[in-house]
Amino acid sequence: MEDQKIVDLYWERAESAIQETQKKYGKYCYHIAYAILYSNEDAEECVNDTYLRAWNAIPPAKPSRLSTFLGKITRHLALDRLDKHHAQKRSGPITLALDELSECIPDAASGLDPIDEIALGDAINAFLAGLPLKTRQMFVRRYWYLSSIKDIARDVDMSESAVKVTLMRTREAFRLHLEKEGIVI
Amino acid sequence: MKNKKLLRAMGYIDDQYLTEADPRAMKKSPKWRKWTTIAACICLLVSALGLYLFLPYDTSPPDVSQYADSEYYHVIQGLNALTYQKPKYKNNFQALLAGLSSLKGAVVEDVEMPETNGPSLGSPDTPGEENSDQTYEEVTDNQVDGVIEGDIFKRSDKYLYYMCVSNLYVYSIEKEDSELLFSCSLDRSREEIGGWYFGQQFEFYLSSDCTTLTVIMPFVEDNKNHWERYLVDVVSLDVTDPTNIRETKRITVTGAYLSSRVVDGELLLMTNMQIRNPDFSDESTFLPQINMGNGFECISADNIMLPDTLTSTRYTTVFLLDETTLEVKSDAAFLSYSQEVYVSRDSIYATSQYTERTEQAYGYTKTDVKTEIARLSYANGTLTPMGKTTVRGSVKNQYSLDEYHGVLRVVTTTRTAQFKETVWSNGNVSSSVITNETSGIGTALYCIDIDTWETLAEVKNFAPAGETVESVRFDGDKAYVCTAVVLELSDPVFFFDLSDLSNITVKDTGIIDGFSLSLVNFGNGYLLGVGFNGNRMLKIEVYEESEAGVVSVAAYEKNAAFSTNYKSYFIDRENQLIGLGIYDYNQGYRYIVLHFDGFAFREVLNVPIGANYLYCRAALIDGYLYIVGEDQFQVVNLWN
Repeated sequence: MEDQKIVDLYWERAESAIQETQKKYGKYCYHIAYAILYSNEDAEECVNDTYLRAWNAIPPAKPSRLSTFLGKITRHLALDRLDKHHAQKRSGPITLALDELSECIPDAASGLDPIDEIALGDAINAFLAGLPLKTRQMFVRRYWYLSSIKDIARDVDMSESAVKVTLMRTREAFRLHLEKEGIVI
Repeated sequence: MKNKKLLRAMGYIDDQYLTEADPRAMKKSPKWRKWTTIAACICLLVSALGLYLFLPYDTSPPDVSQYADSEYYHVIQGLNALTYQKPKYKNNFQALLAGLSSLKGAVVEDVEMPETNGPSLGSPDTPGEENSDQTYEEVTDNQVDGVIEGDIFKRSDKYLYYMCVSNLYVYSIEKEDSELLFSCSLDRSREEIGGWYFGQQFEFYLSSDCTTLTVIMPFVEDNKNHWERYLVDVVSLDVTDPTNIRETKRITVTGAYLSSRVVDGELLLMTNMQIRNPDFSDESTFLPQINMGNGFECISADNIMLPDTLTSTRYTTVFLLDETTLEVKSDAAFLSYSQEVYVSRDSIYATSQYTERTEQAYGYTKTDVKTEIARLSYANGTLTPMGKTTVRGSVKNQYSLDEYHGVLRVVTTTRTAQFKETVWSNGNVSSSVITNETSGIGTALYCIDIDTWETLAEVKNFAPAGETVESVRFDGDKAYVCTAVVLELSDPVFFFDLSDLSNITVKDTGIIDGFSLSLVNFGNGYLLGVGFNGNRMLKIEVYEESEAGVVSVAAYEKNAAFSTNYKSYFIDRENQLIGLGIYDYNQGYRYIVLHFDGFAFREVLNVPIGANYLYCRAALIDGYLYIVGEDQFQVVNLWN
């Protein structure tokens, strides 16, 4: 079913909206949640919460891209859930991604400026805007979808080492970008 | 938790980017190709291991005597010893035992460039039709009079020139009738430059006769011959006819872009170049180069300066170019690394921070952060090293340095720590720090003779322990310094009177909420500070010096995020105005202008602008405020 029709079902308050969402985007949301939580049970609960959030948000929301709308909700819920479960449950792909991202954080000792998430998000988008398409896809796959290097390499038809090198170089450029913008997290 | 915050901030990524990277949509290659590749790799690996498994490694630096006839032999010798890394294991077998995971390949794959948009530049052989009769109007609020700084916004009395992430825009200055005259992308395909541009680092200059834009365009080359190579394109654009802008000259220099200035029609361009795995038969891997259009050529051996003891494998290179023709007047390279650059009317001061470790009794180690400051004269069109000095602490940015009547003034945050390292039986090393963070942090102001490097005056720990220097501004024989305990969000502002170096006097404001990230003279004896309030939101404050001390006269606070780049602020001292782009958490992206009437700030403008505040700039011309931001352009009659 087309996204627009699914959104219409939400607006009509038809319960089939959830079924159609589950059918079309269940795996997608599960993938996002699992990459963060690394637990079947938690990921499934998170996806169910996503449907509920979507039900409460539409209307008034009328998302133009239902996939990313749901994906963002799932990701947000999964990160919240991860916070609650705290460090003892933190393992899997997110640990690696967090470690890699830590390279991008400019040295606080240099006395740059603390910044909020939204401004940081702006800086990330400004950075992404300047990246070549394939590099941007790899960066977003790794740090938004938390995909494994192996999966990314398969999908962009590159070797894993080439993906790693490209990501490493992009992280370095990202670090420089944050530094240039005077951003400290 | 910092990286977690970064990960969470990834949640704000635009839908467009998420859609294009959707795992379900991305093309998957056939499985047979993957297995074929893996099989081929395994075969190669097994063959290579079979051949080299037990060959002992050579542990002496490579013999470079074959290059004895090279004019760069002294550089080769120095770099050879410094860049050679002794193998960790005796042979490949040991290395294999130590872990197959260490056998990593570094394959560089082609990446695609985004499509450029908009019209392209005119052909170089298409002459401009108009002669420029414009007058140059500087909008960069320079640190030093006559030393012009690059930015993404410049203006003449007729046109506004603006650049955002490699897109160039030219607008006419005609009040309500102002319009976009020209726009194009300066980006080039990967095939052309062999890499991709850092669009966000682009900046440019407008020549004093308003006929030439000189654009600085850093990029990275990712070809297979180099692990990575940072370069800078410098492009001269003829803007005599702003509707038909033409590229007239392009040169490329090696190194990551550090900084630039224009002084009296001469462009000073500074880069940092890292040497990795030099191949001494290929000069491009270990020498700074410049391409004037006829291929890369190395800097002359006479202009490469080596210190007595070589400790760095990074060059700082400086090119002195004609601003419009880009002809090289002088160049120099130093084997050192530079971080912050301050440029006075005739000297470049480049800083390099390092940590000095001193072994102490009972196995303790003391660390002390220091900054080396090297001076390079560029007077009379030649680059001449003038020596260097070292001060304790680190400098915040270029505004922490200033040259005045033969004296270099520097403000630093000093950082010391004392710790003991314990090596455990399993090889792990743990450190126990015995100096707590607060007591190890201090402040210092130095006044140094630039010819003799003698310290003429020094003020140590003028701020309470634990406070770091957050902003500095020198103005003649005055210095203004804001220090803060960043985590506690409180700041005193200090006023130094440096007119008599044997009797430096200082006044301060006492503790105020928040802290300033930029300080600037606001005219009429006022000092303007832009920074954070106690909630880490925007705070703009005006200070005034009085007999008793320094007082805060007025403050404006808003629940908003803002750019911390000083160049993005519009400051009009005559009318006591300040303007800047913000992200208002209630209203979204806005451009605001505040008027200070001697008692308080008043918002005279607050308009929506669909542009990131990082890219917003403005100029006030005949009562009209011209605001640019990304592809947005607005003209507002400020006094209506």
